[in-house]
Amino acid sequence: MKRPDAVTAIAVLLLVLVLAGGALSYAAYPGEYGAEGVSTATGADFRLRSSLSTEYGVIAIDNGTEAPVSKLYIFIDPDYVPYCTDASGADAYITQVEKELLRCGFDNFERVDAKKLLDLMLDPPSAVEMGILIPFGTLPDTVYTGQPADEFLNWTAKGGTVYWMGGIPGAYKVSEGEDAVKVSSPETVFSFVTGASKGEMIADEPVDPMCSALNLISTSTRFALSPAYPGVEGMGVKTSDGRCSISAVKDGPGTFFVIAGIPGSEQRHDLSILISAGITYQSEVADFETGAFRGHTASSLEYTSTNVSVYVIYGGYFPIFGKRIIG
Amino acid sequence: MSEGRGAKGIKAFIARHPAVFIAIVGLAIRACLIPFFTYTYDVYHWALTISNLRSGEGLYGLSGYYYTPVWGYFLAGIGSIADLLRIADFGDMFYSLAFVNGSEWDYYQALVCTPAFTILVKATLTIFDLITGYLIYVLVKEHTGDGKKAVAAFGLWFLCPIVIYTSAIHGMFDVIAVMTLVLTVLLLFRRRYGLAGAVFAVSIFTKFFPFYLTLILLVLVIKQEKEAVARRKALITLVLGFVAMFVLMYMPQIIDGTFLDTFSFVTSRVAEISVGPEIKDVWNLIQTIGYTVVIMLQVVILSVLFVIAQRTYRLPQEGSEFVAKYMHRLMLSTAVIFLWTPTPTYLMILLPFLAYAAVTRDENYIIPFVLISVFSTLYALAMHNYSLLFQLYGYFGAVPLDYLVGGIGWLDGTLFNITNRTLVNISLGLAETLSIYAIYLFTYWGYMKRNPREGKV
Repeated sequence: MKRPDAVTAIAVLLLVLVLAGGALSYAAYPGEYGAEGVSTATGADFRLRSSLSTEYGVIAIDNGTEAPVSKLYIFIDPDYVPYCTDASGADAYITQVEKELLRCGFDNFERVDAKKLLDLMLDPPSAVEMGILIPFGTLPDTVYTGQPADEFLNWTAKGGTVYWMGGIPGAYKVSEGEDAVKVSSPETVFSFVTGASKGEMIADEPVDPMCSALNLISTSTRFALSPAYPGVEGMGVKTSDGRCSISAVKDGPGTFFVIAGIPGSEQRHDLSILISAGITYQSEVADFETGAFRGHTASSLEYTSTNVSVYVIYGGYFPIFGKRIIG
Repeated sequence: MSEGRGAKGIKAFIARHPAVFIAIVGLAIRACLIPFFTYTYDVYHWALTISNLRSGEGLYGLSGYYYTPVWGYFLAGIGSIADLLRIADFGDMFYSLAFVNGSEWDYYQALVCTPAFTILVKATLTIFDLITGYLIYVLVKEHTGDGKKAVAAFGLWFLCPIVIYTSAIHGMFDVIAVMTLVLTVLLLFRRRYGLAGAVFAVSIFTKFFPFYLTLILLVLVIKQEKEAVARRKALITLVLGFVAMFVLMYMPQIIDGTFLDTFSFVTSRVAEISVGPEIKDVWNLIQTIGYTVVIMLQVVILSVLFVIAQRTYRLPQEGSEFVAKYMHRLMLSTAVIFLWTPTPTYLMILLPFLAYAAVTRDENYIIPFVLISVFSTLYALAMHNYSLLFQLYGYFGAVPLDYLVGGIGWLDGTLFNITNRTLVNISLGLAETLSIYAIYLFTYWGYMKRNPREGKV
């Protein structure tokens, strides 16, 4: 009888493994995930399910008197190219942001160009529960020229939220088809940028329990707002002098969030969780639970506040599923 | 004084099963390294890739995976094993490591993967190390009939520091490309052309370097098949095997429209966003110039590879004489790929063939083998430096934070306006390059020794 050929067996096994891996990559994933919650007299009961072994976090967030953002506009316009990337780089990054938002459980977003952005600024009946993402630190001149009367200010004046990434707010503006230019004194329009970081500082202290509960990962503080400015709140990770990877400040009834650092995967991660979890200027962790499971698990959170969002995230620092189950 | 029975028994075992003993030693070394030392940056991306798969984004939907799909498929399998073993925690954030943001090197990572996850990844790669060693053993044994030489070649491979480093510390998958390349060579010698073509497709689309050897591998087929009909049949079978495997491997990306994304490591990384000038220091400048030189060198490399293949085709020898010469030229071809200074792990592709040459042709090749092993490992250690200790710091508390801060601070320090990191990298990169070039020197000396009156190779 012919001796079994180990080399051929290895070759066949290898090919089978590669093809099985390919099938697995697309047929077996994603897993099936779900989460439900109900408010109770003492807080909330939740029930989680996952077909894969995963870490989970369930976080009750007390929003004080504020309402979480439920609709997000994302500014991107190929004719208004920001200072830090080109049109295709901007588009690729925003595509990633959108996917990350979906993964984290937020699907109510819409891209807006410079004209639509102006429309929003001119006619927001109320911007409460609405957010605008300015992803690359550059505003179009349709809404911003560096003057205190600029239309962009209408947004926060009507209670809207701004998520600002990629620079110090107001530091760059761009006209159609031209290169972005620096604005000499953005603090004349956005007074809270006074003292904002221009360089990187080491931020190694998490602002807990929020940072650890939400698995925030960016440690960059470039462009962070100064903690010395009245009303600036810090989230994420902070430096020894209090500058944070995420800063929030009230601008009239509205809120400005500044996600520090050059927009990258870490900033994208934090931004998506921030929006999906419904974090507001006043948010504080009321209670949270973490653990690992496969199949089903159920438990409850305890809190007394009434304006609470409960957010569920699976995967720990490598999120695979998120959902706001209450609020 | 007489030796104990245990020691005698061990000696007898080693004498009877030297390859098994080498395997045990090699596995023991890896077992001591795997849980504690990890290059966090790449392994973090493997965890990210699995999480992207788990959230339904495939390999390329969300950024994080920049290679061709083969390793991604293995990661899918690793993810499933993690699921079965209930390994839910892939990594944790160590905020105290955030000081690395201040470093000029961008590849430190404060999010460090758990020992359990890294063990899973690196154990998979270790299996490939072992199988590759076995295939080298078979190759030498088949060609020489000498078991001792085969064991020596296996030992050179399996105990080689850069092989151990790449799989057990770096967590990088170069070994899969190497294993499939050696397997391709073996299958070609055995005239299993369809299978060889399919395995070669896996090899090329794991890491692209085996592509450079296409011509010389085709020469083997042509030389083996003397009859025109048999030759044509062999080549068609080989190509069909290759194409069929390629299509099957890429089917998911062809279907979901991400085919071009699988080459993003050649073209560009997703969404490059930068603030300020691109060139930060001398090292960045060297890298920028280096990329240009590497691209220009491709003309020279491909020309030399063509000449080697052509001369191999014209070899008059037959049988074992041809095999010996062919394997030597195959080794030289793998060396020619790296006329530039490669990332240390890339060099693994030449090691099986250099080990083969050292044990079958000229034992002096052991010198470049050792030089390459040592300097590429030192270069890798210098490149990844203190990040290798992050896991030991975070999960075992065995390294003080001050040590990491001081060490990385020193590397970022400057001498004559050049960072210490740059100086170390340049020195070890140069040593690595010279150690590759030593192959040509020993080839020349070997030739002169065998042909003392000849003035040329």
